[in-house]
Amino acid sequence: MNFPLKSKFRDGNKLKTIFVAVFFCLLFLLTYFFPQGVKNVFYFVSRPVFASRNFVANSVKNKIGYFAFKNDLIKKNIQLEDELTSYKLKEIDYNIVLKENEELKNLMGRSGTSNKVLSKILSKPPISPYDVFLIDVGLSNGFAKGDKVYLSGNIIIGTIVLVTTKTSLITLFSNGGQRQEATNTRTGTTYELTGRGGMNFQLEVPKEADIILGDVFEYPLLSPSIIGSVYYIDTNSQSSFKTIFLKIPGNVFSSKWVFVEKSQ
Amino acid sequence: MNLKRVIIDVLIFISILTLPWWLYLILLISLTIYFQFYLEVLFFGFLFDTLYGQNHIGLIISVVFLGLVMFAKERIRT
Repeated sequence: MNFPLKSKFRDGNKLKTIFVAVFFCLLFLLTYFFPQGVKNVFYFVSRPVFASRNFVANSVKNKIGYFAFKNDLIKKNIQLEDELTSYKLKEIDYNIVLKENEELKNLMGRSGTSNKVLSKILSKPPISPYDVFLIDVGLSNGFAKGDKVYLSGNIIIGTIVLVTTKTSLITLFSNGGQRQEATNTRTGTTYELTGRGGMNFQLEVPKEADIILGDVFEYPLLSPSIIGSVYYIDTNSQSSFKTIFLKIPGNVFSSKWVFVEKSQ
Repeated sequence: MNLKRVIIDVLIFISILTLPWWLYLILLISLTIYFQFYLEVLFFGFLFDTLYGQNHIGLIISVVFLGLVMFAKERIRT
């Protein structure tokens, strides 16, 4: 009979299992009793790494452009593309502001002042999972949980879900499974959008519902804030429903900055 | 303590802050399988939750995965 080898393994494994359980409980209790403290420590340690990463990424991007074939053309192309994106966003903003102006004139006496602050993105997908962003403003700048985050003047993308002294965690409305009420600007009907991840939303409505390609949906606020626009409608002849797909205008994931609106 | 392992841990820490999530997930899975007892995976799960998450999903997944790897390794004769 010769069993010692197996017995030894099992004894060692028992010890390891206890070790894992103790370590797990320790970490769990740490987050349970000191969630804010733990976050503050990790964000404090991580901030220099995030900053260095952004600096290195920008430098490498510039160097690649320099050595690339016909780099002048590439640079110019990138510049023009950036300008075009900026103008597209400005056009959306302009239309919204124009409409807001008209609406405010009709309302007479109602005013919607906003207090937006520019913030640098420290981490974003695909480094952080889901539709989660980390930005460099926090409690010390007067922000709180629930404050709204904008991509540009009138494009709302999400809210602050966690806030520490100098950083805040944002979840986009398009986060998978997240539900958000939005109003169709053309018809005024309110629907509940479901986040599908990657800046996308989905909406299932009866076939008769008045939604067409290009329809813009806005967040229920006094000042118009766009959530997304319809880019595809899936209609099945055998179903009495149609699926609407929406996307946040502009590219959130290529943006380096966002605007955060302080609660009034 | 093994210097190689410490260096790897530091690199994994940096990768969680700089690389896409699916890349460091693959690295962590590989290291958990490669090392005899990679307890650090719990800390990295914890770090992931603290930085990007709003619940304990990273920590729970890492403890379950480490448990499964330990269970499998115990039963595999080398």
